[in-house]
Amino acid sequence: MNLVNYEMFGFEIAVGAYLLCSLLFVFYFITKKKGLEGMAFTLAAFGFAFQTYALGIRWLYAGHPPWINTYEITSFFAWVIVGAYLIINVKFNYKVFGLIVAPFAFILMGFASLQPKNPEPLVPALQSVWLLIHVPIMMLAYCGFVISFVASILYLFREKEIISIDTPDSLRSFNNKAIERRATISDSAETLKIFSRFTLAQLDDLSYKAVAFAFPLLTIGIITGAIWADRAWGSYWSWDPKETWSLITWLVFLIYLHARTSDWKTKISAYISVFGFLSVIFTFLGVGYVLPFLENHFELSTSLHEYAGGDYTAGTILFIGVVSAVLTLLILSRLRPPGPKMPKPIKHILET
Amino acid sequence: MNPLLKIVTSVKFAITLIAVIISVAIVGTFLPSAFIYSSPIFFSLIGLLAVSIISCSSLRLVPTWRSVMEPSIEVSDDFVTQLPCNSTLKAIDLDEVKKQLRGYKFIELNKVDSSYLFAQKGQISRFGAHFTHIGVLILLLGAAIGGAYGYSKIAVLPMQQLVTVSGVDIKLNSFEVSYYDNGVPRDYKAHVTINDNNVLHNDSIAVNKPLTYKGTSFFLDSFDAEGFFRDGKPSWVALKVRSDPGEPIVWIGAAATPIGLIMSFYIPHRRIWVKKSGGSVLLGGKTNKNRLNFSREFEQMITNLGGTLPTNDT
Repeated sequence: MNLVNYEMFGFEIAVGAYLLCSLLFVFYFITKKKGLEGMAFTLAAFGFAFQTYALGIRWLYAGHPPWINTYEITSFFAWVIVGAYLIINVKFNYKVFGLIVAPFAFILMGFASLQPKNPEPLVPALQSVWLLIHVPIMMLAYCGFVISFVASILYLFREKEIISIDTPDSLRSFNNKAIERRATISDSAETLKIFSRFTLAQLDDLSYKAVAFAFPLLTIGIITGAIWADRAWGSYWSWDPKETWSLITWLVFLIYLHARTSDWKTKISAYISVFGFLSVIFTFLGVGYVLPFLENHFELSTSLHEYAGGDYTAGTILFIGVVSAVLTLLILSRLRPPGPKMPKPIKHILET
Repeated sequence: MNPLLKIVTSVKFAITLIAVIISVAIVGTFLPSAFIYSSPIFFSLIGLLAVSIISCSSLRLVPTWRSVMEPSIEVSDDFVTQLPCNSTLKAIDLDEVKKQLRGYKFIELNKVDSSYLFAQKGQISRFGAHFTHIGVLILLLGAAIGGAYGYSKIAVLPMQQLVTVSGVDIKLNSFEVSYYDNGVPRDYKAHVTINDNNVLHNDSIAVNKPLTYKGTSFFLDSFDAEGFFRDGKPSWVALKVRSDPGEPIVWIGAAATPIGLIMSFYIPHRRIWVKKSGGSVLLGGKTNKNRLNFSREFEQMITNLGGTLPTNDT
């Protein structure tokens, strides 16, 4: 009984499902045909189920949790993101987020599939109970930051769309449907119609909740990492790039949380969330691949975290690809949607 | 307030400071050595951050305390009707209202012509930020103590020789490497004996299992690979010897930090004011997070008390 085959079966179905899901969301974005959204979502769930199966099989025959080498950790990240996407859709309809989540998951899976798959037995430093604690907690935090990123980027797109708002009496309650009804959309913002359901308040709130969920987990993740480092290497903090970048990510979201208590809240929250996500990408991909890539070409610091091995060049290319996509979305979101010149909004919808 | 003090205790100053720290930290990851993190500039930034935390927290702690411990009970009608969730009911017994609010703490006040009931729960969440701030300060203190009084060094133990390391007499007895089937190392283990005033302690040091003896920790660092692969007998093992008196303090601070975050983010502070005067009862409430659930629970309470659902159009 060759378990590898079973795993590959599940993995490949998942890859195909995420790809189809992405394509369907693109069609939905262009054609706005009802029904495509539901089909795409079902595909995401379907792929997730098969990938869960694949991960289980992998754990079984590899003899260690499926998050050690590059193949494992990148496909695991994809799984976690799709899982987060499915979870936020339990109570509310955020299916449309799949337009960003599904391609991201697919790209991660595609990258994973190009990596060597042979499971390596655990080196001594990894033989620890902390492996089961530190890594999952970090990944769980990351998926919160991914959701926050999607909500924030949509917020930035939507902010430019909303052209007129009647003077709101009170904005304290975000459950206020009356205010939401008064916001209207330019007819010419057709391309973004599928996101028109979401109000700025809703997107901002989701973004915040995702960070509020993820930030304590990131904190615990960093601390458990420090405890583990202390046991294995005798030092709870050595400014190793992976450690430093996880701290940088923590600090960026620290700014996010603090900005929300000041009047900088509405102006910069969404941007900080996007930069926080970039920091997550660097922590996850940059440290493991870009830094060693640069190290091989220039003299730079290396990380104690290089268990994953893998192709530094491919990883660097993936990193550049993801970062470019994020920055492109960011720039696009700040461009005015085509149509009649918009009057200045009377009052920003979130200002209290 | 002194304008300088106003700046230092402002959130925007803290944000700017953190942004500078982030920038320095990023630059540091592209440099060949980690010197930037022990540089005077970095220490000053962290020190300034500590000052910011202390001043901001002290400023806000008393008002938070008052708001939680000494809430306004005797409130005006307008106050209640302007709360995000509110409703007006025909005269009912305040005890009936209390029955609907399980888990809440109550404060009652009876005046000549009106009765007041104040209910709150989750008030601990208001102290979450302060708890986290103190945790971070404790952590920084522990790190500073460790930096000042701690040390870390490499000690080479030649095989079968008694060596004195940091006041501890230690002898390396043997060293073994175990392997997986495919030849990848599974574990490294050094067997040592510590001689403490002629009392012998035998112990082993493996990669995830360091040896700690009277405040000093010994970790495996490296071994004589050449000798080991030549004839299975490494002639030395190097240990990393570490003592960090600040470490327990760091762990206390590290534990407090996420606890404060959980208090802040996962526990909603809910408050309900009830005012009974004349023939009617005014009820109103607010929460600092999870508004949707609170709204629903409030509406459920109103329904249970025989009222009609409010339109909530404020």
